[in-house]
Amino acid sequence: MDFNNLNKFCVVLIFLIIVLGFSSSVFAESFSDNNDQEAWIQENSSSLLFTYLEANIHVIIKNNNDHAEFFKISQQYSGDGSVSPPITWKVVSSPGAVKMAKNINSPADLGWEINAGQTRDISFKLVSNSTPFYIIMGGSTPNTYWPIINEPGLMASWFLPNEIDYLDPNLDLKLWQGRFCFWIKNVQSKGPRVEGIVRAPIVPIDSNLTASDPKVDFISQMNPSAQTAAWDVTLYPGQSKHYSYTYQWPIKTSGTTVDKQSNLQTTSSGSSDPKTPVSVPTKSTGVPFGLFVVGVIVIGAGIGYAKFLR
Amino acid sequence: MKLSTFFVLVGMLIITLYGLIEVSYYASANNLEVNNSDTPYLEIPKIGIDQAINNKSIDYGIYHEPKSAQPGYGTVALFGHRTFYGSPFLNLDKLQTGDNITVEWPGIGNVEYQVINTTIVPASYLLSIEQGNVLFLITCYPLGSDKERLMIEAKQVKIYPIGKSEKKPANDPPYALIIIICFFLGGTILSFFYPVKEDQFIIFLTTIAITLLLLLAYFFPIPPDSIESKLSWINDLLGV
Repeated sequence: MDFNNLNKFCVVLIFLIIVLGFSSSVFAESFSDNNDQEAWIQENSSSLLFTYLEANIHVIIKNNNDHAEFFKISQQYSGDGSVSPPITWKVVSSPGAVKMAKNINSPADLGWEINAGQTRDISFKLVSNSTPFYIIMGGSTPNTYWPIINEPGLMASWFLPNEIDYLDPNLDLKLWQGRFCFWIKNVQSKGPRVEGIVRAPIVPIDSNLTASDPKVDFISQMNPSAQTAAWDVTLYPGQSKHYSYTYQWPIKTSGTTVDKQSNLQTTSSGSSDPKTPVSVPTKSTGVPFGLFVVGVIVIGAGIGYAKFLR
Repeated sequence: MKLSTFFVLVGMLIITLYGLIEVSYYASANNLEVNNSDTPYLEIPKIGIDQAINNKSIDYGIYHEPKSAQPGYGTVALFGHRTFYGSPFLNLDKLQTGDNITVEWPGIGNVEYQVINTTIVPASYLLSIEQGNVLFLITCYPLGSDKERLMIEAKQVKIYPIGKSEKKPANDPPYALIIIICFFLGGTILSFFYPVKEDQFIIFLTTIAITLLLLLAYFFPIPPDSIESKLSWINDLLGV
């Protein structure tokens, strides 16, 4: 059977193949990188960076001493100094705070004066002043073999209620509520997508995660000193994603004094929601052969028709 | 041009899509930068697996499910393609009860497992990752289909220190170039023996175009998952 127009059609088809080839190369040049095919990436080579970190903290603190004490916050939290710079917080909102005469870190520490026996309600908002950054605990050994992306929950030195306690044992922490927001970005401009787990600390260990956006995929128990909220993320080159979560300590508040020691020693009571996952979906691990077979049959049919039936 | 020639060209295009996946995969593998001191390996002598484990994507070989535990600390889940993408788990079905599997994991050691069970489950199956110190190797089943999953379950036997012998990058043949040459030779032979003499030139021209396309994919690998998703979609559409 002759199809005169098919001649033109096939010429166009061949032209399209060539165009497809060139366009594919352009696509590949935009989204692929010969050097990004690392099977195992050191943390410093992570494709993902935090590009924004914000903390909204609300605490209720009682001064058990017989004289006034100051609840203080620093504007710089530790980093190990070699792998990553410390987190420098910019205090953007601290109603009632005053500048401390003496500070641990520069710039100046801020504080709230709490009179003897007084219980004070304090809120403040901080934004990380140094981005992009990696978060790592001061003096800790960088994890060089696991993360494709940062896993801050395992190494972070964010605000921890017990750090407040370290500052002044006379200040009795009654309530801690923290809302953290952060952005992560795949800083690669080209290459395939990256996948991994982003972790963020929920501290102390018996805090209750009260909200998260997007919903956390699971709560990791890998770190003995802090539970970590974990999201399973997929990011394409240049893509950014926003995460926020809120937690509270202790799980239930009451007018009575909270026994912090017993709380801190308690293991996870299962109060967190969602739970650590008990199952994962199985991934697609094969390309179906069906269409391939169809292709072979179509070629065979074409040849057979040309040879025997034409 | 004859109708038969049109069919042949369509068939060649379909097969080219599969060729693109493999060429892109192997071209990427050639550029793989593996930090040997930090890279875990899976070793299964019986079926000839000695390959790096990655935490990036299942499209780069054997992939560790990040929600599962590290060896020695709970249930480990490793996924691998059975077809295409280097087919690391092509012969997974040949494992039998009692076969040895070793996971070399920097910072932990050599964790040795022994196969205790082989299971076929639906693709929608959810794998529990709280089953103690066991290893699951998971791939597609049957061969050439993604309707079900083949799961090999192995129990942890022992952990011992990693020796000093360092893994060296596999010195594999240039599969991507071999595939491209095969396409070119196959197309050329097809055009030479094609019964319709006046259309032989068209088929040869198409072969040249396909070879050019594969060469471009070799030098600038295309993310294969985008091609795979389209192929799977067409397969589902055709019900094949």
